[in-house]
Amino acid sequence: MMCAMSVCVAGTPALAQHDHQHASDAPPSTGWQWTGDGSAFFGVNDQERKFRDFTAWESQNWMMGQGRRALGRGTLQLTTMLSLEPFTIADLGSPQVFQTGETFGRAPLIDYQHPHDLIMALGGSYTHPWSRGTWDVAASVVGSPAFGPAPFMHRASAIDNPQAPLSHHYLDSMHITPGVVSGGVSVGPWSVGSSWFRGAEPDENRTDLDLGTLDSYSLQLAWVRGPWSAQISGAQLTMPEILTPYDAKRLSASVTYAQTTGRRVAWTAAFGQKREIHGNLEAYLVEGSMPLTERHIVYMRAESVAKDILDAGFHPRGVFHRHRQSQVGALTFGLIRDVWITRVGRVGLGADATGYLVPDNLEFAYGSPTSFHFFVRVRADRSAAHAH
Amino acid sequence: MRARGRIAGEYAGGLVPRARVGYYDRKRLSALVTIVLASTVSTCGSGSTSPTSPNPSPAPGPSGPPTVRITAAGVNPVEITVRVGDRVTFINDDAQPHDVAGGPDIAHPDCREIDAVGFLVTGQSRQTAPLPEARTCDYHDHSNHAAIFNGRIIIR
Repeated sequence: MMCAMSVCVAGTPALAQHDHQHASDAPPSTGWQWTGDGSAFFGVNDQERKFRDFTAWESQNWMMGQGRRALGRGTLQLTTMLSLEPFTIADLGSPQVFQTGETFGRAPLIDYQHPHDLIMALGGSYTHPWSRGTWDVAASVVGSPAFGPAPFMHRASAIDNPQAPLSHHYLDSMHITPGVVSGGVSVGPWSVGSSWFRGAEPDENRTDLDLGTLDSYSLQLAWVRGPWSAQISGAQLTMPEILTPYDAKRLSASVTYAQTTGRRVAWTAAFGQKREIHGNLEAYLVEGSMPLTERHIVYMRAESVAKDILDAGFHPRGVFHRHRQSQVGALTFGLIRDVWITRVGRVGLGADATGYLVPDNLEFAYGSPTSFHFFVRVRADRSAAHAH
Repeated sequence: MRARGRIAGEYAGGLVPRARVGYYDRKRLSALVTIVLASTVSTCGSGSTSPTSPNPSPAPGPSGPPTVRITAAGVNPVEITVRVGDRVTFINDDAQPHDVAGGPDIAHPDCREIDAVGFLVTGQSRQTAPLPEARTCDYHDHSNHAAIFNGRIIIR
């Protein structure tokens, strides 16, 4: 498929599209081609901790609709993506030891993964061929700038894992950005794309649109060949975090192997760095998903992430100190058995377990935590497409 | 549950000694009573005529050492009175971590003995260092600046 990687999906990097290919790349010559996708987990999340355990019944979920049609020599695409997590996950978030990012009650979220916004994507893109490849432009009310690997919920290597990576806010947390304008060029396997977007993270109201000035930008270079893709990207963010009124930079690099046919084995290795006034924090991730049989899928994720848990909090301008860092590790193994497979999707029962490597400076507070998920997973068949 | 047992164990073992009263404990108690009586007699005999009211004794806690509990509703009690040399125990009963530090806010650090409490995950408790002098110490939550997590320790 030929398209510049920043804008194949409205506001979503082409790398997401790479993981998200549908049955047909070419739009119908007349009319619209509509496709849908989605995934939902329902289950119990058990976090075994040193001082108190946490158990939550919750659902992580998203659904996406795309319409494509020919327009001139190019292709117009509209995308929307919704999540019911504002109603299926507690306001405080999903308990997850060592997870950080965004706020609740104007305090930093620590040990919780925030619910995603109701409107995760809403926008359109136009891709046009030229003599050596394609160029494309996109505009999204809510979208994803050209930065990082595909967001975890779309990543083939992570799509069966209900838990967000601890590196989420280093690699792909900008996937719900209110206000994104992007452009890109693709030549052969290479693509370069850039985005202009609002740098602030979504606020605590998960059902509104956090529109504002476009004040941040990103640049991404990507390469796609067969099941392989890779990207490097950087972003300059204007005050991304409400608790730290300073600008920040982010860097990322990733390599993905994702089979779209056959066994659908998928792997991703990624590096992310947050360059903030309080220090540089780095994250490393390796994850994979591999069908064992037609009905059994195993998945894993290994991460090493620098967290500044001990010094998180509001820092007014002028109050500055280097944050103590804690390099935490996490290793997850999971298994899903599909118990019901239909033409439009599959329903499976799954479970996973995560063990953590706790650095010395968090040992007293966290001990040796473990976490478990037991869930039902409903996943759309990505090949479903309807032309009208 | 393992975790609940451990917090109870930490609190009971570290902060509320339940060792039986033995010979040496009785001896210490006797010495303490003697000192208290002596200081009382000394105060009465000084014939002070100061018009200012004497400092009231610290309000005795319901039981055990002075303790501040942190919940989603804030710190409780907001203001606590302790004796010079006492430690104050902070217990995090909220669902989120808290980071207790001395001073009214992050820009005005003070009473560094309170910094010994620091970062507390849910269910965790920790003591301040001994509070060495009679004064009033404000403290705040470094990770949550809502006013409900600000408090005060009065040391007398």
